[in-house]
Amino acid sequence: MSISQTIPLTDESSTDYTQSSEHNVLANGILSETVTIQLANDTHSYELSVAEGAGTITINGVSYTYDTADIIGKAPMILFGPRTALPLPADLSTLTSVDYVTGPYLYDPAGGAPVVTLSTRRGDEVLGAGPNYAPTDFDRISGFSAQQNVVNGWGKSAALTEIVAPHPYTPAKLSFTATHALIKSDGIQPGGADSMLIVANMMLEERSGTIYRDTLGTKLRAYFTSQSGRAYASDLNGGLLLNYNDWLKPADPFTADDNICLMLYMNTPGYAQIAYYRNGQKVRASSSTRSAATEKLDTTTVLTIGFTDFGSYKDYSVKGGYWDFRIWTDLAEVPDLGTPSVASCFMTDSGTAKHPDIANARFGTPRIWLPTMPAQANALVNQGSSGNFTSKKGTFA
Amino acid sequence: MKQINLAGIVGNASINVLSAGMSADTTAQLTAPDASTASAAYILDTKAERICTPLSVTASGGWNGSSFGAGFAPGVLSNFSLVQNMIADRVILSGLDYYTTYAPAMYEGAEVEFRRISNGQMVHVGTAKMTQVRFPLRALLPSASTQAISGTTFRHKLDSWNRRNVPYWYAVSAIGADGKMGIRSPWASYVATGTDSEISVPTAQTVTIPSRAEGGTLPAPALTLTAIGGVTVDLSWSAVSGAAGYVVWLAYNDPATWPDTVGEFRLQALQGNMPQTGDMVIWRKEVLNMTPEMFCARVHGASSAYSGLYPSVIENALVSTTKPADWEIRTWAENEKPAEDLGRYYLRRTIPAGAQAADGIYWSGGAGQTYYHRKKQGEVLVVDVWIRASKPVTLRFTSGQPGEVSQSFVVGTDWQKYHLTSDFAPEPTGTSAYRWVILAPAGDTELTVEYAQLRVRLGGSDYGALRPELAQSLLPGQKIRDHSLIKTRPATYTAKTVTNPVGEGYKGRTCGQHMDLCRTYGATPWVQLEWALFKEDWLLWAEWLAENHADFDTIMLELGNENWNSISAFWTLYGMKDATTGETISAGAVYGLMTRMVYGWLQESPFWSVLADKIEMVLGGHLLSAYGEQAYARCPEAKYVMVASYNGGWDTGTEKPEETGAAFRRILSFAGGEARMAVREAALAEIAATLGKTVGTDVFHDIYEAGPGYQMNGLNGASMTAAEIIAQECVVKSRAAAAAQVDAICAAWKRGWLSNWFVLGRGNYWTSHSNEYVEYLTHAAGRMIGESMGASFRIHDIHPLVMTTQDSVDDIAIYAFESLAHPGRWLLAVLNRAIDRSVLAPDDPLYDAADTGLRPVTIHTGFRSATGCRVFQGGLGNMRAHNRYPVGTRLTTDGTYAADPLCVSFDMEWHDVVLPTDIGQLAIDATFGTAATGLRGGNFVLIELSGMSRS
Repeated sequence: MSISQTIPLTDESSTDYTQSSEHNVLANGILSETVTIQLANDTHSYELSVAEGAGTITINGVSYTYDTADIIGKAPMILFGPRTALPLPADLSTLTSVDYVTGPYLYDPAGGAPVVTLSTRRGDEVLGAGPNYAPTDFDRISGFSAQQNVVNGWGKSAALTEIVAPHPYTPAKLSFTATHALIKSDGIQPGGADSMLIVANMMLEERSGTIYRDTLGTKLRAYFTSQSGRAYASDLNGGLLLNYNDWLKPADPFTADDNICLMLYMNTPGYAQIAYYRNGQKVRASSSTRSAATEKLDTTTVLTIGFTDFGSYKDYSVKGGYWDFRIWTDLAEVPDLGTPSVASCFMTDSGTAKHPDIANARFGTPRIWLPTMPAQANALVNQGSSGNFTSKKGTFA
Repeated sequence: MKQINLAGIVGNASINVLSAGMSADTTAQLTAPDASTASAAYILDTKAERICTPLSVTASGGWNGSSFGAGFAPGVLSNFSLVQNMIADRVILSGLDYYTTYAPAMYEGAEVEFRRISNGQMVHVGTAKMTQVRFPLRALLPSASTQAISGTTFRHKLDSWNRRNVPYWYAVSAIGADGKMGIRSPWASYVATGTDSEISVPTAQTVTIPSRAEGGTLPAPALTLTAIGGVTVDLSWSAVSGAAGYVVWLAYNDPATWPDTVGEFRLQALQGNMPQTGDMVIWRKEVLNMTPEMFCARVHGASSAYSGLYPSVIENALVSTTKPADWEIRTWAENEKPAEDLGRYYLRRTIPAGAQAADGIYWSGGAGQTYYHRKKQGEVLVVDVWIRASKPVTLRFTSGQPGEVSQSFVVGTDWQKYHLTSDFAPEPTGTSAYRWVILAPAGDTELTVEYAQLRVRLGGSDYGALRPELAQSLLPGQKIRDHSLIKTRPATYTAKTVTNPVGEGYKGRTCGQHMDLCRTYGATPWVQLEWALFKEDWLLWAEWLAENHADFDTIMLELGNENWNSISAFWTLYGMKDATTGETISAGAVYGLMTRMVYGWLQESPFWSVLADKIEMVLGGHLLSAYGEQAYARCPEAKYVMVASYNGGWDTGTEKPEETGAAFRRILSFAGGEARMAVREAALAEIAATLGKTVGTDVFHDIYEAGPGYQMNGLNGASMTAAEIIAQECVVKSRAAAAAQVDAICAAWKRGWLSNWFVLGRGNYWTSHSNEYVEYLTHAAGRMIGESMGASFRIHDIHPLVMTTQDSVDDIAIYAFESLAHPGRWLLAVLNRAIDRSVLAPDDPLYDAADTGLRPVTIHTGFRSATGCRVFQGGLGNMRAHNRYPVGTRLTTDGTYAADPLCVSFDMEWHDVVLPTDIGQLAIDATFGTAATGLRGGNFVLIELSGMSRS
C-alpha cells in the first residue's frame, strides 16, 4: 500500500532515505486515499506516503499510534512530551539547571507552521518559560513539570512531563473529638509578631467547631458553625485587625469527611487575608485592610487548638482531625493565599496534605507545628524550634 | 494530496510508519522547531459562535435643522406615581406638583392610565380623565430639613422668578427637640409686587434638629406678618414653650384649597376597571396653550419649568398677564389640511392690536463660540413653512446675522407653503448668538397668523437628513439606536406626536425620521420610546409602523432609557407590590413586566401579523447590578439584555482622566472591562436556565452604550474644574484612548457581545465628532473595523504564545476578524496597553525618556499567502496626541484657544502596503508603518489582508 520517497529541496545528493514500497493498495486489495507524512530540516524534506486512517509511527525505535483523522484539520498531535536533554543526577540536590528537548508531533500544515513553547510548571503555576529552568530548593522538594505546547491555526495541543516528583508523603491525621485540645500556655511568640501565617488543614465530620482560640476569644480565634465562619485577630493594643464572619457561608456545601483548609495571613499595620479551600478547591479568598495598627500582632496569649472550657461557656473542638496545623511568624513575604502557588504548598488538588517540607522550604520553620502522629501529640513532642505545646486535653489515638 | 508533517525531533531520526499493513521508513537529520518570540500569538481557525456586525451607534440629533426649531405639536406634561389610596372616586397620590412646579390648573381634563401587577403579570387597569385636581403647593423655610429657625422673627423676600400680583401665604410651626413640627399657625397673606432691590435679608439664625417630620403636638405660635416692601415680609411670632426652633410655611396656592391628602383628583370618564391602592398611575396633559395659572407661582419666571411644553420658536410663550397666552396648538379639522403630508397639528398666533410677534430661535453664532452653528459663506438658511393670516399681511424674515436686512413677504388668508431663504453670512467673530425670525409687525387691529409644518434647515440637503460629516461615519449592517425620544420626563410626547411627519414631532423629532435614516444607510433600526406611552399609543405606533416601515426585517424596541437610573428626566422605575400575591416586585422586575405588557399590547394590534417577525424587544440593564436579569426573568420574550460599559468615568469609575501616566495606564488597562461582563454573563445564564432559554440562541448580551467614560459635575459625584474638563477632553480623545476603545470593542465581539458607540454627534463628552465635525479617532477606530469587514464577520480565537504583562494584563492585545461579506479578507487589530512614558510630562512620576513602551509583536496567522494588504495607521505615534480641538490648539478656561502641539490631524485613511514576505508569521514592524521593532505604548494598528489562503 504505501510509498515512501524523499524529495530533496535543494541538494539531491544529500538525501538519506530508504524506499520500501510503491503500492497504495491495502492488504485487502482496496485502494486507499494516501496521506503524505513530510519531515523537513533546513535543506531537505522527506515524505512518506501512507494510507489514510490509523497507523503506527516508530521514531528511533519507539512506536506511537496515530490516526490521520485526528490530525488533518485538527490541532497538532504531540506524540510524546518534552524530556530533559540529559539524565537527571541521582542526587537531586545537585540539580541546578535543566534543559528540555521537545517531543515529536504530527500536524496538518494547512493550519500553518506550528509554534512550540516550553514552560516549567507546578500545577497551575507557571514557574518559567523557555527550554531550560534553574530549579530552587523548593522546586526540588515540591516537584515540577515541563509542558510543551504546540499550536497552529487548527488549535493548540499540550503535553506535560513530570521532571521532578514532589517528596513522597503519606499524610497522617491527628484525630480530635469535641473535647480534645492541645494548649500552648505561653502563646505563639513573646513580644508579638510583625506578620503571621496560620494554616489549618482538616478532615471534618461535622460542620461546627473551634479550630483554635485564645482565652478572650478575640485575640486570635477561628471557628465555624452552619451559619458562619468567623475569625479574629488583634494587635497588642487590643485593636481588631480581623473580625470576619464569612469565611464559610450557610450556602457553602459541606459533607462529612470533607478536607477543609483555612489559611489566614495578617501583618501590621492591619492587612489581613483569609482563604478557604474545600477538598483542595478554593471557595473564597478575601482580604481587608484595617486602620493602622500601632502595635504588633498579639501572639502572646494562651493558644488552644480545640476544646476550651470557661465554666459556663465552652468552645468545642472540631470533630475530625488535623492533617496539618502550622503557624509562621514574621514572614519574609506577603503570600497571596488565594493563589495556586500558596495552596500547592499545603495540599493536593483533592485537599490532602502535602509533605511539610514543601511549605517549610518556602516560609521557613514554623513557630507552631501540630504533630499529626498521635504518639507525638500525646508526648507533646516539639517539632518546631520553640513550638512546644504545654498541655493537652484528652488522649489522642 | 493530503499532507501531515512530522516535527519536533532534533538530530538524526529513524522513522518508520506502519499503515494498512504496509510500512514506509526513512532516516533524517532534523533541526529544532521554531521557537516563539516575545509578544507573539497564533490566530486559531476556531471562532466565536456569534456572527459579528459593525459597531452599533446611538444617534441623537446631528441632522439638518436639528437645533434650528421645528413645529408644530403640543408639549405633553406627564409623570407617574403609585396610587397611595382610593376614597370612592378620589385617587390619592403624590408628585403632581413636581417639586412645586405645576399647579392644579395644569391637569384639568388630563388623561390617566392605570397599570397593576397581579399574579406576576402587569396588566392594563383602565384609563380616565382627571378632574377636581387638588394638591398643596408650598415650601418649608429654612429649606434644609435638619434646620430650624432659632428665634421668633424671620424676614423673607421672594425670588425674582416668583410670580407678581398674586397672593402668597405664610404660617409658622414650632418644632420640638425630636424634629416634629407642632400645630401650624393660621395663615397670613399678602399680594406680591415689585422687586425690593433696596431691602436686604439677613441670614436666618438656625439650629440643627433631627430631620423634620409632621405629627408634633406643640401649640401653634401667634404669627404676625408685616409687608415691608412689595415682595418682602417680616414675620414674627410668639414663643412656644418647649420649642427647639421654628419652621415657616410658604404657600404658593391658597391653603384653603388644599385637600386633606398629599394630593388627589377625581376620576372622570373611567374606562376599564376601578384603580386601587398600589396601582401605577401615569398622567399626562397635552399642552395646547399655556396660562400662568398652570404653573406654580414659584417658577413663573423660570423658563426650564415650561420648556418642552410649547414650540420653541414662540416668543414669550408664557405671557405675564392673566389672560391666555397668544398662541394655541390646534388640531386640523377634517378636510381642513391644505396638503396631505401635513401632520396632525398647526399653530395659531393671535397678535393684539399694536403688538408684534417675532418668532424664531437662536440657531447660529460667531466664530468665537462652538455651541451654535457658524453660518459660513455660501450657506443658505432655509425656512419652509405653511402660513395663512386672518387678513393679508406683510411679514418679515431674517436669518438674524448681524447687519442682515430682513426680507418682506406677503401672506394671504389661504394656506400657502413659503420657502424663505437667506444666504447672508458675514461670519462674525465673537460669541454672540443669532436668531432667525419671522416677524408679524404691529397693526391697528388684532391679527391671527397660523403656521404649519415648520422646517428650518441649511440648503443643500433635506430637512432631517443626517449631516454628511456624520453620515459618512455610518456603515451598512449597523444597528442605529434612536436616542432622541427618551429622557423626556416630565415634558414628553404621545404617539400622535412622534408618528407625525418629519419635523412635526417632539422638539421636531419623530420616529419616522429615524426609520428613514436607517433605511438610507442600510442599518437596522433600534427604537427607544418612553415606557409611559399609553396603550392607545402603542397600538397607534404599531399601525403606523406596519403601514410605513414594514420593509425592515428587524426593528429593535427598547422601552425608556436606563430605567434604573435616577437622573433627572429619566423615567426611573421603582418597585411595586403584586396586588394579588403581595409579593414585592423589584424595579428591574417591574421593568421586565412592563416590557412584556407592551409587547403583548403590540400583539393585540390588528397589524401585528406584519410586525410579528420583526420586533425584537431590548432590555436595558445595568453593568453593576442585577437590574437587567431581573427584568429578563419577567420578560423572557426579550431578545437582548444590554448594559452600558464605559472605560472609566460615568457609572463605572470615579477617577478623573488627567494628563498623567497613571491616567493613561488606567485607560489602557481597561481591556474591555471583561471582568464585569463576565459577572453579567453568569447572572443572565442562570436566569435563562430557569426559563429554559439559552444565552446566545434565545437571548443575547449586548452593550447599549460604550466608549470612553467621562466625569461630569453633578452627574456622578465628581467635582471638575474647567481646566480639568478641558484636560479630560484631550485625554479621552487621545490616541491611547482610541487604542483602549479598539480593545473594548473587540473584547465585546470576542465574548459574543455587540458593542456600541455613544453617541453619533458633534461636540464634547461622548460624541463621535468635534465641534468642527472632525471624527474623533476613538470613534473612527471602531468604525474602520466595520468598514473593512462589511456587514458580517467572525472573530477568531487567539492563542497567546508569550506575553509581557503589566498589572496582570497582557501588554499586547491581538484580535483577528474574518469577513463573511468579503471572502478571504481578514483584519488584525493589534494594540499595546503599555504606556509610552517618554511622552509624559517630565515631572510625571512615570516619566522615563528611554521607555516608549515599545513591545515586539509577532502574529502567526497560519496562512501561506495573501493578495493585498492595507493598514490603518491613525493609531501610530504619540499616545497623547488627540484631535479634540482645531489642529495645534486647545481650549483654555477663558474660552480662547492656546497652542497645543498634541492636538493633531489623525491619519484616517487606509494605506496599501507591500505584502509581507511571510504571511504566516507577521512581525509588526516598519512594513506596517510602526516602529522597526514593534508597537509603541498606547498605539494600535489595523491590518487588513485580502486573498488570504492556506494553500
